[in-house]
Amino acid sequence: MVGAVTVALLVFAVLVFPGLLFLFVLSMLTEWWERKIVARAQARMGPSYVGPAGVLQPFADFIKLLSVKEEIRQKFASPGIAKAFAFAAIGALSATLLMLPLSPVRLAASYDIIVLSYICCVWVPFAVAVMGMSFPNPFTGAGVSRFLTLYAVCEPAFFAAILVPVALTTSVVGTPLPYSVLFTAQYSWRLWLNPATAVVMLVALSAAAVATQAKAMAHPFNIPEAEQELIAGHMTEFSGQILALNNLIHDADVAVSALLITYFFLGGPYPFPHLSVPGVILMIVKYVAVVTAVSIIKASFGRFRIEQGVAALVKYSLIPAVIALLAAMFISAYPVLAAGA
Amino acid sequence: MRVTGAIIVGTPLETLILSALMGLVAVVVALIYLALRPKYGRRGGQAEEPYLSGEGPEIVRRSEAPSPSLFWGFILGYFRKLYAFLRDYMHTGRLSDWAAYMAGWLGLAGALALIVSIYALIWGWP
Repeated sequence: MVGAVTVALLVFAVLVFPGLLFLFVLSMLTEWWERKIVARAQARMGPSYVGPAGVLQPFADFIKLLSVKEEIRQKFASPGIAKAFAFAAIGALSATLLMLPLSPVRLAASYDIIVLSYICCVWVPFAVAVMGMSFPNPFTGAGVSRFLTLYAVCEPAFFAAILVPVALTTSVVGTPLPYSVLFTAQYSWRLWLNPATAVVMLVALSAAAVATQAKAMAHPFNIPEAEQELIAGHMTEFSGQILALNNLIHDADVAVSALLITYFFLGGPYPFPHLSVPGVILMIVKYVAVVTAVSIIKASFGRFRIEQGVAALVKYSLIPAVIALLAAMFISAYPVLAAGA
Repeated sequence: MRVTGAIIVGTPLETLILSALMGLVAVVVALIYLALRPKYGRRGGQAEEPYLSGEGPEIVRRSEAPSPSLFWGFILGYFRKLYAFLRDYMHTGRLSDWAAYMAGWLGLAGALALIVSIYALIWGWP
């Protein structure tokens, strides 16, 4: 029976840490770091004036858009629908974090990897697509169609890739609950201790990294927004508050994807506990490494055309992820192959 | 294996709890939004028109492909390439190519069946 204290803890977790407030701060800091790295790669300064080293610039941009700038509503727009889905997407991303060991109160269930995919990988792209379509415009239509095309490949690829550590942790390491997000995040680091599972994890990690690049709509997969080609694609008509919410969803999606990779593939703070200095430092280092990798790839590529983007995703993300998943299933059938993990 | 600090529930209940918490965050964000949003009057004139890169409104009256059609166009276009690749390699019109193709796949299936049968006979079914 769930008591009042547990309910209060759940509400605290989803609204403060690691939910809404923490996710907001993490998203803004992630955006700042990404902008700094990309600027550095392009011999620019990046954010510099607001706060030390410009760290408060994304906060200032968000608050300005939300509370100062005017929202221009064209006559065919349905801003209410767009905002309702934006709120739902932010809620979905905040609730996702309660499944990770980062949370002081963690939810776990058998096969809850399906719940993760429903909450995180379905709600967010669906909400972004609806937000775009709520502001009808030829550029928006083309942007949304490209967005859906890209996500039709990158979300299955991302899900197949994260299924690899989930399946291997269940069968090889042995967890109290099968296919559980929480226990995978806690024990997946052991998969790097065995050569057979380490190779499979490496393939799945590279597939997940490519899919994350597409989920972040960062170069070379910034095809839906396609600046100077589609104006801003699905965001063409966004301004003021709806643009602030869209930017927050984008940054939060990148942050949650990076956190999932940090936990599922890089082991989070483990083998150290969360509440220890080495654990916190290790966790931050791994997270920053993931975001830095995304930013460096972003700064190094031009934009693909849509068919090139889909082909690249199939070749470098979906197929490797499926191969890694098949290998994981094979190892799961013969755990003796992964002795020591 | 330690199980610490986790609330272990069934998968349907976890879905319900997370959906409820998702709704709670959505309501809180909506309230924050309502508290912070600036008040502006309804604009008229050009601000009401869709942004068309300086083009006149007549360009949107022209028939254009809707988003779902563009989506299926991209997806089907990609798989059409795959289909064309398979078709060009499999259906050359020569009987020997067809025989080699069928023999190749049936041979592979036969070899796999043989390996699995021998494995199952010696070590048992996994």
